[in-house]
Amino acid sequence: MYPTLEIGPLVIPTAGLVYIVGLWLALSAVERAAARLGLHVPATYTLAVTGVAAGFVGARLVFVALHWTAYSDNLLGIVWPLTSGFHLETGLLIGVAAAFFYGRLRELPPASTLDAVAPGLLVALIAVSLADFLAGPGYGEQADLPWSISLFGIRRHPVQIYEIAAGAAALLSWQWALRQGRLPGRPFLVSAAVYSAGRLLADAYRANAPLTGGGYHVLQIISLAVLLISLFFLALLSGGEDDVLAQEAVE
Amino acid sequence: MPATRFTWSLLFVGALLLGSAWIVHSRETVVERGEAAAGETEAPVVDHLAPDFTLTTLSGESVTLSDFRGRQPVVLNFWATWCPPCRAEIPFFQSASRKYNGQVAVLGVDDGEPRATVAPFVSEMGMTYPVPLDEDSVVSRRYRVNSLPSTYFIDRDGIVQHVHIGIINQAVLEAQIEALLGS
Repeated sequence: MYPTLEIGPLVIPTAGLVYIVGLWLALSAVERAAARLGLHVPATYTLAVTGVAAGFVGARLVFVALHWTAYSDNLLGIVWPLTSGFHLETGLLIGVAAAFFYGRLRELPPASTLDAVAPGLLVALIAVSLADFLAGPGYGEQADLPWSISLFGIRRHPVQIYEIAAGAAALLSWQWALRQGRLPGRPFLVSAAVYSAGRLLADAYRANAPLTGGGYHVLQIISLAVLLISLFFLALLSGGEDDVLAQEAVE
Repeated sequence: MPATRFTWSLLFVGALLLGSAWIVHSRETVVERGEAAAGETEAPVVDHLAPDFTLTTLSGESVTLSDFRGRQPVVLNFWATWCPPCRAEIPFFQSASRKYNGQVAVLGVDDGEPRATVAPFVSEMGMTYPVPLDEDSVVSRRYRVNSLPSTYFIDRDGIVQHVHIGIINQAVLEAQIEALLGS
Protein backbone atom coordinates (compact mmCIF):
# COMPACT_ATOMS: atom_id res chain seq x y z
CA MET A 1 0.00 0.00 0.00
CA TYR A 2 1.23 3.45 -0.88
CA PRO A 3 -1.24 5.92 0.64
CA THR A 4 1.02 8.92 0.01
CA LEU A 5 3.63 10.01 -2.48
CA GLU A 6 6.52 12.00 -1.05
CA ILE A 7 8.25 14.46 -3.39
CA GLY A 8 10.73 16.35 -1.23
CA PRO A 9 8.74 18.15 1.46
CA LEU A 10 5.49 17.63 -0.48
CA VAL A 11 3.26 14.72 0.62
CA ILE A 12 0.54 13.92 -1.90
CA PRO A 13 -2.28 11.43 -1.12
CA THR A 14 -2.04 8.88 -3.94
CA ALA A 15 -5.78 8.19 -4.01
CA GLY A 16 -6.57 11.85 -4.69
CA LEU A 17 -3.90 12.00 -7.37
CA VAL A 18 -5.23 8.86 -9.08
CA TYR A 19 -8.80 10.23 -8.99
CA ILE A 20 -7.76 13.52 -10.61
CA VAL A 21 -5.62 11.87 -13.32
CA GLY A 22 -8.29 9.17 -13.79
CA LEU A 23 -11.01 11.78 -14.29
CA TRP A 24 -8.93 13.62 -16.86
CA LEU A 25 -8.15 10.38 -18.73
CA ALA A 26 -11.79 9.30 -18.57
CA LEU A 27 -13.03 12.57 -20.09
CA SER A 28 -10.31 12.34 -22.76
CA ALA A 29 -11.44 8.79 -23.55
CA VAL A 30 -15.02 10.01 -24.05
CA GLU A 31 -13.81 12.79 -26.33
CA ARG A 32 -11.72 10.41 -28.46
CA ALA A 33 -14.50 7.81 -28.64
CA ALA A 34 -17.03 10.47 -29.72
CA ALA A 35 -14.72 11.55 -32.56
CA ARG A 36 -14.20 7.93 -33.62
CA LEU A 37 -17.94 7.28 -33.65
CA GLY A 38 -18.62 10.41 -35.68
CA LEU A 39 -20.66 12.09 -32.92
CA HIS A 40 -20.77 15.79 -32.11
CA VAL A 41 -17.59 15.88 -29.98
CA PRO A 42 -18.16 19.08 -27.91
CA ALA A 43 -21.73 18.06 -27.04
CA THR A 44 -20.70 14.52 -26.03
CA TYR A 45 -17.78 15.84 -23.98
CA THR A 46 -20.05 18.38 -22.26
CA LEU A 47 -22.52 15.60 -21.48
CA ALA A 48 -19.75 13.70 -19.65
CA VAL A 49 -18.59 16.83 -17.81
CA THR A 50 -22.20 17.66 -16.86
CA GLY A 51 -22.68 14.18 -15.42
CA VAL A 52 -19.46 14.37 -13.38
CA ALA A 53 -20.08 17.91 -12.10
CA ALA A 54 -23.74 17.29 -11.22
CA GLY A 55 -22.83 14.03 -9.51
CA PHE A 56 -20.06 15.68 -7.48
CA VAL A 57 -22.18 18.65 -6.37
CA GLY A 58 -25.26 16.49 -5.82
CA ALA A 59 -23.39 13.95 -3.69
CA ARG A 60 -22.04 16.77 -1.53
CA LEU A 61 -25.35 18.59 -1.13
CA VAL A 62 -27.23 15.42 -0.22
CA PHE A 63 -24.57 14.61 2.38
CA VAL A 64 -24.82 18.15 3.78
CA ALA A 65 -28.62 17.88 3.94
CA LEU A 66 -28.42 14.55 5.76
CA HIS A 67 -25.91 15.93 8.30
CA TRP A 68 -27.24 19.47 8.53
CA THR A 69 -26.75 19.76 12.29
CA ALA A 70 -22.98 19.45 11.75
CA TYR A 71 -23.00 22.16 9.08
CA SER A 72 -25.58 24.65 10.40
CA ASP A 73 -23.02 26.51 12.53
CA ASN A 74 -20.14 25.85 10.13
CA LEU A 75 -21.29 26.92 6.65
CA LEU A 76 -17.71 27.05 5.34
CA GLY A 77 -17.60 23.30 5.96
CA ILE A 78 -20.01 22.82 3.03
CA VAL A 79 -17.30 23.78 0.55
CA TRP A 80 -14.14 22.85 2.47
CA PRO A 81 -12.57 20.37 2.97
CA LEU A 82 -13.81 18.33 0.02
CA THR A 83 -11.70 15.23 0.65
CA SER A 84 -14.70 13.41 2.12
CA GLY A 85 -18.38 13.90 2.89
CA PHE A 86 -20.26 12.69 -0.17
CA HIS A 87 -23.40 10.58 -0.55
CA LEU A 88 -22.09 8.45 -3.42
CA GLU A 89 -25.22 6.52 -4.39
CA THR A 90 -27.38 9.64 -4.73
CA GLY A 91 -24.53 11.49 -6.45
CA LEU A 92 -24.37 8.71 -9.02
CA LEU A 93 -28.10 8.94 -9.68
CA ILE A 94 -27.99 12.74 -9.96
CA GLY A 95 -25.00 12.54 -12.34
CA VAL A 96 -26.72 10.00 -14.59
CA ALA A 97 -29.96 12.03 -14.57
CA ALA A 98 -28.11 15.27 -15.42
CA ALA A 99 -26.25 13.59 -18.31
CA PHE A 100 -29.50 12.04 -19.56
CA PHE A 101 -31.37 15.37 -19.59
CA TYR A 102 -28.43 17.15 -21.22
CA GLY A 103 -28.37 14.46 -23.92
CA ARG A 104 -32.10 14.90 -24.50
CA LEU A 105 -31.71 18.67 -24.65
CA ARG A 106 -28.96 18.42 -27.26
CA GLU A 107 -30.79 15.59 -29.06
CA LEU A 108 -27.77 13.28 -28.92
CA PRO A 109 -28.40 9.74 -30.27
CA PRO A 110 -28.81 7.67 -27.06
CA ALA A 111 -27.19 4.38 -28.16
CA SER A 112 -24.17 5.95 -29.89
CA THR A 113 -23.68 8.35 -26.96
CA LEU A 114 -23.58 5.39 -24.58
CA ASP A 115 -20.95 3.82 -26.87
CA ALA A 116 -18.85 6.98 -26.57
CA VAL A 117 -19.27 7.21 -22.80
CA ALA A 118 -18.35 3.54 -22.17
CA PRO A 119 -14.53 3.91 -22.42
CA GLY A 120 -14.67 6.90 -20.07
CA LEU A 121 -16.68 4.95 -17.51
CA LEU A 122 -14.24 2.04 -17.73
CA VAL A 123 -11.21 4.30 -17.27
CA ALA A 124 -12.91 5.88 -14.24
CA LEU A 125 -13.64 2.46 -12.75
CA ILE A 126 -10.03 1.39 -13.32
CA ALA A 127 -8.90 4.56 -11.51
CA VAL A 128 -11.17 3.76 -8.54
CA SER A 129 -9.65 0.25 -8.31
CA LEU A 130 -6.11 1.62 -8.60
CA ALA A 131 -6.77 4.20 -5.86
CA ASP A 132 -8.18 1.44 -3.67
CA PHE A 133 -5.09 -0.70 -4.36
CA LEU A 134 -2.74 2.14 -3.41
CA ALA A 135 -4.53 3.63 -0.46
CA GLY A 136 -8.02 2.22 -0.01
CA PRO A 137 -9.55 -0.04 2.58
CA GLY A 138 -10.10 -3.01 0.26
CA TYR A 139 -7.99 -6.16 0.37
CA GLY A 140 -8.17 -9.72 -0.87
CA GLU A 141 -8.72 -13.07 0.73
CA GLN A 142 -5.65 -14.94 2.01
CA ALA A 143 -3.95 -16.89 -0.79
CA ASP A 144 -0.45 -18.20 -1.36
CA LEU A 145 -0.30 -17.80 -5.14
CA PRO A 146 2.66 -16.67 -7.28
CA TRP A 147 0.88 -13.35 -7.90
CA SER A 148 -0.31 -12.81 -4.30
CA ILE A 149 0.68 -9.58 -2.59
CA SER A 150 1.90 -9.33 0.99
CA LEU A 151 -0.14 -7.07 3.26
CA PHE A 152 1.20 -6.76 6.80
CA GLY A 153 2.92 -10.12 6.53
CA ILE A 154 -0.05 -12.01 5.06
CA ARG A 155 -0.19 -13.01 1.40
CA ARG A 156 -3.48 -12.10 -0.23
CA HIS A 157 -5.30 -12.02 -3.57
CA PRO A 158 -4.51 -8.70 -5.32
CA VAL A 159 -8.24 -8.20 -5.78
CA GLN A 160 -7.99 -4.63 -7.09
CA ILE A 161 -5.56 -5.83 -9.78
CA TYR A 162 -8.21 -8.35 -10.85
CA GLU A 163 -10.68 -5.45 -11.11
CA ILE A 164 -8.21 -3.45 -13.20
CA ALA A 165 -7.75 -6.50 -15.46
CA ALA A 166 -11.55 -6.69 -15.86
CA GLY A 167 -11.56 -3.01 -16.89
CA ALA A 168 -8.74 -3.57 -19.39
CA ALA A 169 -10.54 -6.61 -20.86
CA ALA A 170 -13.72 -4.53 -21.18
CA LEU A 171 -11.82 -1.78 -23.03
CA LEU A 172 -10.45 -4.39 -25.46
CA SER A 173 -13.95 -5.83 -25.93
CA TRP A 174 -15.21 -2.32 -26.73
CA GLN A 175 -12.63 -2.12 -29.53
CA TRP A 176 -13.64 -5.58 -30.73
CA ALA A 177 -17.32 -4.65 -30.79
CA LEU A 178 -16.58 -1.54 -32.86
CA ARG A 179 -14.75 -3.65 -35.43
CA GLN A 180 -17.79 -5.97 -35.78
CA GLY A 181 -19.66 -3.35 -37.79
CA ARG A 182 -21.73 -0.30 -37.01
CA LEU A 183 -24.49 -1.26 -34.61
CA PRO A 184 -25.21 1.56 -32.13
CA GLY A 185 -25.27 0.35 -28.53
CA ARG A 186 -23.30 -2.84 -29.12
CA PRO A 187 -19.86 -1.56 -27.96
CA PHE A 188 -21.44 -0.22 -24.76
CA LEU A 189 -23.32 -3.45 -24.04
CA VAL A 190 -20.37 -5.73 -24.86
CA SER A 191 -17.98 -3.79 -22.61
CA ALA A 192 -20.59 -3.66 -19.82
CA ALA A 193 -21.05 -7.43 -20.09
CA VAL A 194 -17.30 -8.14 -20.00
CA TYR A 195 -16.63 -5.76 -17.10
CA SER A 196 -19.52 -7.05 -15.00
CA ALA A 197 -18.46 -10.67 -15.68
CA GLY A 198 -14.96 -9.76 -14.46
CA ARG A 199 -16.28 -8.11 -11.30
CA LEU A 200 -18.59 -11.08 -10.70
CA LEU A 201 -15.52 -13.32 -10.68
CA ALA A 202 -13.12 -10.98 -8.84
CA ASP A 203 -15.40 -9.90 -6.02
CA ALA A 204 -15.44 -13.47 -4.67
CA TYR A 205 -11.83 -12.89 -3.61
CA ARG A 206 -12.42 -9.59 -1.79
CA ALA A 207 -12.08 -10.16 1.95
CA ASN A 208 -14.14 -7.18 3.10
CA ALA A 209 -16.86 -7.09 0.47
CA PRO A 210 -20.26 -5.71 1.49
CA LEU A 211 -22.67 -8.58 2.11
CA THR A 212 -26.41 -9.12 2.15
CA GLY A 213 -28.03 -10.45 5.30
CA GLY A 214 -27.62 -13.97 3.96
CA GLY A 215 -23.88 -13.56 3.34
CA TYR A 216 -24.04 -13.02 -0.43
CA HIS A 217 -21.75 -10.41 -2.03
CA VAL A 218 -23.76 -7.30 -2.93
CA LEU A 219 -21.41 -6.39 -5.78
CA GLN A 220 -21.61 -9.88 -7.25
CA ILE A 221 -25.40 -9.67 -7.36
CA ILE A 222 -25.26 -6.24 -9.03
CA SER A 223 -22.61 -7.51 -11.48
CA LEU A 224 -24.73 -10.52 -12.44
CA ALA A 225 -27.76 -8.28 -12.98
CA VAL A 226 -25.75 -5.92 -15.24
CA LEU A 227 -24.29 -8.90 -17.12
CA LEU A 228 -27.71 -10.45 -17.76
CA ILE A 229 -29.29 -7.13 -18.79
CA SER A 230 -26.39 -6.46 -21.19
CA LEU A 231 -26.63 -9.93 -22.76
CA PHE A 232 -30.42 -9.61 -23.06
CA PHE A 233 -30.15 -6.34 -24.99
CA LEU A 234 -27.28 -7.71 -27.10
CA ALA A 235 -29.53 -10.61 -28.12
CA LEU A 236 -32.29 -8.12 -28.88
CA LEU A 237 -29.98 -5.90 -30.97
CA SER A 238 -28.46 -8.84 -32.84
CA GLY A 239 -31.94 -10.11 -33.71
CA GLY A 240 -32.49 -6.98 -35.77
CA GLU A 241 -29.07 -7.37 -37.32
CA ASP A 242 -29.73 -11.06 -38.11
CA ASP A 243 -32.89 -10.04 -40.01
CA VAL A 244 -30.96 -7.48 -42.05
CA LEU A 245 -28.21 -10.04 -42.87
CA ALA A 246 -30.82 -12.65 -43.85
CA GLN A 247 -32.59 -10.12 -46.07
CA GLU A 248 -29.26 -9.21 -47.73
CA ALA A 249 -28.50 -12.94 -48.31
CA VAL A 250 -31.90 -13.42 -50.01
CA GLU A 251 -31.30 -10.42 -52.25
CA MET B 1 -18.74 -12.25 -38.35
CA PRO B 2 -20.81 -10.67 -35.56
CA ALA B 3 -22.32 -12.85 -32.85
CA THR B 4 -25.91 -13.86 -33.56
CA ARG B 5 -29.00 -13.66 -31.39
CA PHE B 6 -28.57 -17.39 -30.70
CA THR B 7 -24.99 -16.85 -29.44
CA TRP B 8 -26.02 -14.03 -27.10
CA SER B 9 -29.00 -16.04 -25.84
CA LEU B 10 -26.72 -18.99 -25.12
CA LEU B 11 -24.35 -16.67 -23.26
CA PHE B 12 -27.31 -15.27 -21.30
CA VAL B 13 -28.36 -18.72 -20.10
CA GLY B 14 -24.74 -19.70 -19.35
CA ALA B 15 -24.15 -16.48 -17.38
CA LEU B 16 -27.36 -16.96 -15.43
CA LEU B 17 -26.48 -20.52 -14.40
CA LEU B 18 -22.74 -20.12 -13.84
CA GLY B 19 -23.05 -16.65 -12.28
CA SER B 20 -25.68 -17.78 -9.78
CA ALA B 21 -23.62 -20.86 -8.90
CA TRP B 22 -20.51 -18.68 -8.42
CA ILE B 23 -22.38 -16.30 -6.09
CA VAL B 24 -23.62 -19.21 -3.98
CA HIS B 25 -20.12 -20.73 -3.92
CA SER B 26 -18.59 -17.37 -2.85
CA ARG B 27 -21.07 -17.05 -0.02
CA GLU B 28 -19.83 -20.21 1.64
CA THR B 29 -16.23 -19.04 1.78
CA VAL B 30 -17.19 -15.52 2.83
CA VAL B 31 -19.11 -16.63 5.91
CA GLU B 32 -16.13 -18.66 7.12
CA ARG B 33 -13.77 -15.83 6.24
CA GLY B 34 -15.86 -13.22 8.07
CA GLU B 35 -15.63 -15.18 11.30
CA ALA B 36 -11.89 -15.84 10.96
CA ALA B 37 -10.53 -12.58 9.55
CA ALA B 38 -11.64 -10.02 12.13
CA GLY B 39 -9.00 -9.50 14.72
CA GLU B 40 -6.73 -12.17 13.32
CA THR B 41 -3.73 -9.91 12.75
CA GLU B 42 -2.59 -6.61 14.13
CA ALA B 43 -2.43 -3.99 11.37
CA PRO B 44 -3.58 -0.39 10.87
CA VAL B 45 -5.99 -1.53 8.17
CA VAL B 46 -9.77 -1.87 8.15
CA ASP B 47 -11.03 -5.14 9.68
CA HIS B 48 -7.74 -5.76 11.51
CA LEU B 49 -6.86 -5.48 15.17
CA ALA B 50 -5.55 -1.96 15.83
CA PRO B 51 -1.85 -2.13 16.87
CA ASP B 52 -1.59 -1.73 20.61
CA PHE B 53 0.50 0.96 22.30
CA THR B 54 1.08 2.65 25.62
CA LEU B 55 1.88 6.37 25.71
CA THR B 56 1.96 9.08 28.33
CA THR B 57 -0.49 11.93 27.90
CA LEU B 58 0.30 15.60 28.29
CA SER B 59 -1.29 15.49 31.75
CA GLY B 60 1.08 12.64 32.75
CA GLU B 61 -1.38 9.74 32.62
CA SER B 62 -0.54 6.47 30.90
CA VAL B 63 -2.88 5.45 28.06
CA THR B 64 -2.95 1.90 26.66
CA LEU B 65 -5.13 1.35 23.61
CA SER B 66 -6.06 -2.23 24.52
CA ASP B 67 -7.53 -0.98 27.82
CA PHE B 68 -10.46 0.37 25.80
CA ARG B 69 -11.21 -3.06 24.30
CA GLY B 70 -14.60 -4.34 25.37
CA ARG B 71 -15.40 -0.94 26.93
CA GLN B 72 -15.77 1.73 24.27
CA PRO B 73 -14.77 2.62 20.70
CA VAL B 74 -11.73 4.83 20.13
CA VAL B 75 -11.13 7.66 17.66
CA LEU B 76 -7.37 7.89 17.22
CA ASN B 77 -6.23 11.13 15.61
CA PHE B 78 -2.56 11.64 14.70
CA TRP B 79 -1.58 15.30 14.51
CA ALA B 80 1.19 17.83 15.09
CA THR B 81 1.32 21.52 16.00
CA TRP B 82 3.10 22.49 12.75
CA CYS B 83 0.34 20.96 10.58
CA PRO B 84 -2.33 23.54 9.49
CA PRO B 85 -5.00 20.97 8.50
CA CYS B 86 -4.56 19.34 11.95
CA ARG B 87 -5.18 22.70 13.55
CA ALA B 88 -8.30 23.21 11.44
CA GLU B 89 -9.87 19.92 12.48
CA ILE B 90 -9.08 20.11 16.22
CA PRO B 91 -12.37 21.96 17.03
CA PHE B 92 -14.27 19.06 15.45
CA PHE B 93 -12.53 16.51 17.69
CA GLN B 94 -13.06 18.77 20.70
CA SER B 95 -16.76 19.01 19.88
CA ALA B 96 -17.03 15.24 19.32
CA SER B 97 -15.23 14.43 22.57
CA ARG B 98 -17.83 16.50 24.46
CA LYS B 99 -20.83 15.26 22.49
CA TYR B 100 -19.88 11.57 22.84
CA ASN B 101 -18.32 11.82 26.31
CA GLY B 102 -18.49 8.40 27.99
CA GLN B 103 -19.49 6.66 24.76
CA VAL B 104 -16.36 7.10 22.62
CA ALA B 105 -12.76 7.84 23.60
CA VAL B 106 -11.08 10.53 21.50
CA LEU B 107 -7.28 10.37 21.61
CA GLY B 108 -5.19 13.04 19.88
CA VAL B 109 -1.74 11.49 19.46
CA ASP B 110 0.85 14.18 18.87
CA ASP B 111 3.44 12.88 16.41
CA GLY B 112 7.12 13.52 17.11
CA GLU B 113 7.10 16.70 19.19
CA PRO B 114 8.34 17.44 22.71
CA ARG B 115 6.04 18.27 25.59
CA ALA B 116 7.30 21.87 25.64
CA THR B 117 6.01 22.46 22.11
CA VAL B 118 2.70 20.65 22.53
CA ALA B 119 1.59 21.99 25.92
CA PRO B 120 1.12 25.68 24.99
CA PHE B 121 -0.59 24.74 21.74
CA VAL B 122 -3.08 22.44 23.49
CA SER B 123 -3.80 25.19 26.00
CA GLU B 124 -4.27 27.78 23.25
CA MET B 125 -6.66 25.50 21.31
CA GLY B 126 -8.63 24.58 24.43
CA MET B 127 -8.21 20.85 23.86
CA THR B 128 -9.66 18.89 26.78
CA TYR B 129 -9.47 15.37 25.34
CA PRO B 130 -6.37 13.23 26.12
CA VAL B 131 -3.24 14.06 24.10
CA PRO B 132 -0.77 11.12 24.25
CA LEU B 133 2.76 12.16 23.25
CA ASP B 134 4.47 10.01 20.63
CA GLU B 135 7.75 11.91 20.87
CA ASP B 136 9.86 9.33 19.00
CA SER B 137 7.10 8.62 16.43
CA VAL B 138 7.19 4.92 17.35
CA VAL B 139 3.40 4.59 17.36
CA SER B 140 2.90 6.65 14.19
CA ARG B 141 5.42 4.39 12.42
CA ARG B 142 3.52 1.34 13.67
CA TYR B 143 0.36 2.87 12.21
CA ARG B 144 2.24 3.75 9.00
CA VAL B 145 1.20 7.38 9.30
CA ASN B 146 2.74 9.04 6.27
CA SER B 147 0.48 12.03 6.19
CA LEU B 148 -0.88 14.25 8.95
CA PRO B 149 -3.61 14.38 10.01
CA SER B 150 -4.67 10.73 9.92
CA THR B 151 -7.58 9.32 11.90
CA TYR B 152 -8.38 5.73 12.83
CA PHE B 153 -11.85 4.67 13.93
CA ILE B 154 -11.58 1.63 16.20
CA ASP B 155 -14.63 -0.28 17.46
CA ARG B 156 -15.14 -1.67 20.97
CA ASP B 157 -13.50 -4.96 19.98
CA GLY B 158 -10.33 -3.11 18.99
CA ILE B 159 -10.94 -3.61 15.25
CA VAL B 160 -10.14 -0.78 12.83
CA GLN B 161 -13.42 0.13 11.10
CA HIS B 162 -12.31 3.14 9.06
CA VAL B 163 -9.14 5.04 8.23
CA HIS B 164 -9.31 8.69 7.20
CA ILE B 165 -6.19 10.22 5.71
CA GLY B 166 -6.16 14.02 5.57
CA ILE B 167 -8.40 16.63 7.10
CA ILE B 168 -11.81 15.46 8.23
CA ASN B 169 -14.95 17.56 8.54
CA GLN B 170 -17.32 17.52 11.47
CA ALA B 171 -20.12 15.70 9.66
CA VAL B 172 -17.87 12.88 8.46
CA LEU B 173 -16.35 12.59 11.93
CA GLU B 174 -19.77 12.33 13.56
CA ALA B 175 -21.06 9.94 10.89
CA GLN B 176 -18.09 7.64 11.52
CA ILE B 177 -18.56 7.83 15.29
CA GLU B 178 -22.25 7.01 14.91
CA ALA B 179 -21.26 4.03 12.76
CA LEU B 180 -18.86 2.88 15.50
CA LEU B 181 -21.59 3.20 18.12
CA GLY B 182 -23.99 1.33 15.85
CA SER B 183 -21.57 -1.53 15.31
